[in-house]
Amino acid sequence: MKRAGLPPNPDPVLNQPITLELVRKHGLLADEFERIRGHLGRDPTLTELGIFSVMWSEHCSYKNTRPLLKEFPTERKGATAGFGRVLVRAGEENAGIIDVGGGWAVAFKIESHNHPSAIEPFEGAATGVGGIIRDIFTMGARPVLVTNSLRFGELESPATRRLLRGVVAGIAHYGNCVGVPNVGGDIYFDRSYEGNPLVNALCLGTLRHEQIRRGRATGLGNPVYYVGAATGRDGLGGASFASRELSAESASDRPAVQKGDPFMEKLLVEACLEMMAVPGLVVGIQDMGAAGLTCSTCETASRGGAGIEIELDRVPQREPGMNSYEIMLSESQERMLVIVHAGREQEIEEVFAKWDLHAARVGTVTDTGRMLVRHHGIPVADIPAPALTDGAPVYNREARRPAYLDETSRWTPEGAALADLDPAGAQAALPRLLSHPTIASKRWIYRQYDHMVQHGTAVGPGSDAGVVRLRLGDSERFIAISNDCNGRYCYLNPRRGAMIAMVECLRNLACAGAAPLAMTDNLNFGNPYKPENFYQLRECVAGLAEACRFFDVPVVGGNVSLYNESPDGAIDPTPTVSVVGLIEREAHITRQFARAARGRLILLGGAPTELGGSQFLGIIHGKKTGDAPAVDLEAERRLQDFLLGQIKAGRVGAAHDLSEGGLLVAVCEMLFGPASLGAAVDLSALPSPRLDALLFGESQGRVVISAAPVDEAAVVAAARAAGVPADSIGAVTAGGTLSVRTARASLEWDVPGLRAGWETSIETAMKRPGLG
Amino acid sequence: MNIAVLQFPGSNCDQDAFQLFASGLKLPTRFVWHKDTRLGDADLVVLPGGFAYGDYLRCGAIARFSPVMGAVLEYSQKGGLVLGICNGFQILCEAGLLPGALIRNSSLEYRCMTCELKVEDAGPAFNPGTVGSRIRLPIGHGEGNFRIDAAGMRGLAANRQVILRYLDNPNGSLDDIAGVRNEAGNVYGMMPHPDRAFERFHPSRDGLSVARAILAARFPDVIREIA
Amino acid sequence: MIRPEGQIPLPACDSRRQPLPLRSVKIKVFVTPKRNVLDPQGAAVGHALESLGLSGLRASRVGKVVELDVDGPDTPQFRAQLDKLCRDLLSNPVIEDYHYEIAGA
Repeated sequence: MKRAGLPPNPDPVLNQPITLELVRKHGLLADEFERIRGHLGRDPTLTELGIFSVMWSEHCSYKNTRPLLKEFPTERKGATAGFGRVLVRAGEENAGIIDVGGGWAVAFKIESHNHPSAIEPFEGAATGVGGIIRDIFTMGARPVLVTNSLRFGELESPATRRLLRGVVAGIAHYGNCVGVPNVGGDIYFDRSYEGNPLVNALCLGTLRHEQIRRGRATGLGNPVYYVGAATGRDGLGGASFASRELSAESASDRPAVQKGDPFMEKLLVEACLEMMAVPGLVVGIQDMGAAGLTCSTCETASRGGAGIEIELDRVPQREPGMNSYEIMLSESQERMLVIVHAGREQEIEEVFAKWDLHAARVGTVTDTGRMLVRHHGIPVADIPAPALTDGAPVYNREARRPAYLDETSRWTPEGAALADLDPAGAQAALPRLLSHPTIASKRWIYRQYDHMVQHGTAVGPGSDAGVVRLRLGDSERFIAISNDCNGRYCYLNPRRGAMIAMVECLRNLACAGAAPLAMTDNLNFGNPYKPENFYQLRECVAGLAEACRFFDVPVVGGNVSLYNESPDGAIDPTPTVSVVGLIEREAHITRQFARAARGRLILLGGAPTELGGSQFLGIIHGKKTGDAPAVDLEAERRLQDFLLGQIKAGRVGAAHDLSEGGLLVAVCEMLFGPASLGAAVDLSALPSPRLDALLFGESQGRVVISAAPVDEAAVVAAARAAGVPADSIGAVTAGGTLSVRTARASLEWDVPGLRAGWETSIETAMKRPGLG
Repeated sequence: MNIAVLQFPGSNCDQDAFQLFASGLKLPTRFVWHKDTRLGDADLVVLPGGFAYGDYLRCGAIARFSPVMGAVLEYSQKGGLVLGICNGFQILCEAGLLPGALIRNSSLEYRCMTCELKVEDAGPAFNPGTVGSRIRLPIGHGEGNFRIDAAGMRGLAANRQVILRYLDNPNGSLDDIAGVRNEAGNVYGMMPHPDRAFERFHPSRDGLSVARAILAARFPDVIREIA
Repeated sequence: MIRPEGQIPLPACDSRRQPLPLRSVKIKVFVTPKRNVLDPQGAAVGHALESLGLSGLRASRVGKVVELDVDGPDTPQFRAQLDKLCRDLLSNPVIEDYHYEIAGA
C-alpha cells in the first residue's frame, strides 16, 4: 500500500518531480531507485533522494566490496580475555579498538581522501587528516599519533610537484595545529598515480576500556545534540540541487571542497573528551564526516535500533537561506552528533560553553526506527534508518584476470636476455637508485610535520617504524607503527603483492623490536565495474586476509577508495597496510641506523635473487615487469621471531629489512643515520648467479642487522639453528667509504657523496627560487 | 614552589610543558585556564607552545588579550618569573612583555628538527655556566623568524638580553636569535622546546638544564634539593 | 613594558575626509609589512610573478585586509577607537603598517 507522500518542502526548488534523469544524476541506478520506493512505500522527496544517494554511494555503503571485506579476520585467535583482545571490531563503529593491557586500549584506523586531494591538494589532505582524527576521538580516545601513506606521479612533472607541495602542507597545517605528532608513513612516486594521487591518513588514540564510546542512539526521549562548527554549503559544489538554480554566482558560492579548521578541531577534541569524561553523560557520539548530518543521524539510529527526529531550524548555520537538501548533505567539517541522557542537557552545554563552541539540541531519540527530518516544522524526510545502512544494495562484481599478467608473470631476466651488471654499471646504479624519489630521503616532507608534540616520540620519521611512548595513567607502553604497500608488486601479482604489504609491515615492526597487534588497511583501486580492476581488488583482499590469518593479526578497521583512475587507466592496485605493534620494554627499541661500536653486519634470509618488480628494473632498465618476489610466510615468521628474540637478548645494534632497492640500498640506509660511517661489505661467500639481483633484487624475508663482534658468531649460529639463513657480510667502518666485494667485482663508493644525492634529491626538486 | 602552566584555546604543548616540570623536575605544577583572572601564588608562569586561537591574524595576537593576561602582566611587573615557549614566546612579544616580533620562517615552511644552540651570557641566571655552553633542543614552528629594529637590537646587545642563538639558523631569525629575556631578567622567551628535551628517549635532555637555570637563580634551595 | 606609543607615528588614514554622519559603516583595514621588515612571503610571490612573465617588478609585499561592518555613525570618537584597535590587535606596529578606508552602508 502506498504511504501518503510528505507535504511540499518549504523551499519550492526542492519540489521537483523525481525523474529517472534526476535519479541518474544522483549516481543511483534505476533498480536502486525501485528499492528506495520499496523501502519508503512511495516516491522519495528530493531531500530523501539526496540522502539515499550519499548513504548508498560506494564511499558510505561499500556496496561493491562488502562481500570481499568479510574475508578479513576481525578477531585475534591467540588472545582470549587477556592482552590483545579486540574490543571493537572492524565495521562495528567508526574505528576498531584493541586492548593493550592494564585496562588500556588503542583505537586506530586509516582512511583516504584521494579525490578531494586531486582537486585541491591542501584542503583535501588537511580535511583527510581532520576526518580520521574525528573518527578516533569519537570512540572516546585521545589522538596521540598520525601517519600517512602517499602516492604521486613522477616528481619530474610540475603537476606532481604542485600536488606534493599542497598535500604535505595540508597534512602539516592540520596535524600540527591540532597537536598530534606525525611519526611516519610511506610515499611512492610512480607514473600510474599521475593525476590520481593517493592520500591515506591514519590516526591512533588511547583510552581506558571504560572510556569506549559508541555511535549509537538509544533511550526514548534522549536529546540529540549537534556540537562544533556551524554548517555551510561545503562539499555541495558537485550537487546540482540546492536553493538556487545553478548560475555563475551561485556556483561560486558553493565550495566544491571542504575546508578544514584545525583550531576548531582542537577545541572539539578537548571539549568532547571533557564531555565524555563526565560519568554517564554521553549515550552515543559520532562525527559528521562524509554525508555529514545525514550519515551520523541514520547510523546512530540504526546501530541503536532506534529512531531519531531532528528539526533543521535548530542546526547552527553560517549561511543564510540553506534548504533541507543542503543542510542534510553539507560536508562542513568539525561537527559531531551527541546523544546524552535526558535531564542532563545543562552539563553538555556547560562543557561546550567553556570552549566557546556551539552545542545545539537538534532532535530527540524516538522508538520508531525511522529518521524523521523536519524543516520549519514541516517533515522533509522520513526514512527507516536501517534502509540507509543495512538496506544498501550489495553487489558481486565480475572479476577477470587481466591479460597483461600473462606476459609480465612469465618475464625473467634470463628469458629476456637481460644483460647483468658489470662493475661499472653497478658503480653507476647505486647513486641513481638512492637519488630516485621513491627511495631517496623523505626529510623534505617530514620536517614540515610536527613529529614531537605530546613529548612521546621515541623514533620519528626516517626509520623503519615510528615508535611512540604512550602515557597510560601511571604506566607507559611503547607502541610501534609501520605503513606499507608496494603497488608495483600488486600490479604484477595482486595476491602476493598484498601479502607482501602485510609482511613488510611485520618485518618493519620486528626490526623496531615490536610484536604485531592489529592492522588497518586502505584499499585504493580503480573502477570496480571493470572486471580486471575487480580481479585485482579481489586478489589483493585474499592475499591480505591470508597473511592476517597466518600471523593472527586482526583487521580492526579500514577504508575503501575506488574509481582512482583516469582515461589512461587505473592506478596500480594499492592496498595500503598499517600495522601497530607493542614493544615490551624501552630497551628493546631498535632503529635502522648502524653505529661503529656494534658494527658487524649480518644478512638474515639468504642472498636476494629476484629482479621482478624491482626499482632497479624500473629505474635502470625502464621495465615494470616480472612476477612479484616470492613470499614464504613460514620463513617470514621464523625470521621475525628470531629477530625479536635476538633484540630482546640485547644482541642487535641496528636492524633494517630489505625492500625497495634491495641489499645495497638497505646497507646505505643503515649508514645514513646521525653518525658519519662507511662499511666494508663482503658478499663473495653468497651464491650470486647475477650481480644485479644480488645487489638490488627485492627478494622478501631479508633483514640486515648489526651486532657487536663478540656476538656475531652466536647470532649466526642461533639463526641457522632457528632455520633462518644467516651470513656475515662485513662491518661498518669509521671512514667515508663503502666497499663491496662480490665473487666477480670489487666496488667502492664515497659515502658522503652517496648520502648527498640521497638527502637532497626531493629537496632540490621541490626548491622554490629565492627562498632561504 | 609551584609552577603554573597557562592553557589557551589551541595550546597543544600544555601537557608537554606540564610534564617538563612535573615529571622532569618533580615540581608541583598546575594548569591555569585562559579565562581565569587570577594566577594564584605561582613561582613561575609558563606560556606553552601550540596554536592559541589558531594563530589567527598573527601568532599570539588574540591570546595576548585573554582574560588571564591581565594577571600575567601585573605578576611580571612585580618581578614574577615568566617563561614563554614557542607560541608562548610569540604571545609575550605581542603583549609587549618581550621585545621584537616573530614572523614566518624564511623558507615559508614549518620546521620540526633538533637544533644545536649556543647559550649566550645573559647574566648571572642564564649563561654557559648555568645552562651549558652548547645545548640541543627541538624546534617545531612555522613562525619562528625573530625580528627587531636596529635600536632594539642595540638594546638587546647592551643589556645581554639574547639567551640562545642557533648554530645553523633554521628559520631566518635576525642574528640567529632563538630566545631572549626582558631587561629586568624575569621574563624569558624561546622558540626551541625544552619541553621536548627531557625524557630518556628524547634527542637530548637539555631541556632540564634550561628549566633548572631559569628557576635556580630565583629558588636556589629548591633546585639544589631536586638536582 | 608596553610599547611606547609616542614613538610610532600614526599612519595616514582616511581621516583627511570629514567623518560622515552615517548610520552604519563598512571598513576595510589594510595591514602590510613595514617596508624595512623582511617579508619572505612577499619575496616568494614576487619571484613567482617574475617567473610567470612579470618584468620590471620592484617590490612585492603580502599583507591582509580585514573587512568590518559596524552599526552606528562614523564619528571622530569612533575613528579614535578604530585606530587603537588597529594598533592593539589588527596590526603589530613592530613589524606592520595599517591604513583603512571607510564607506557608508
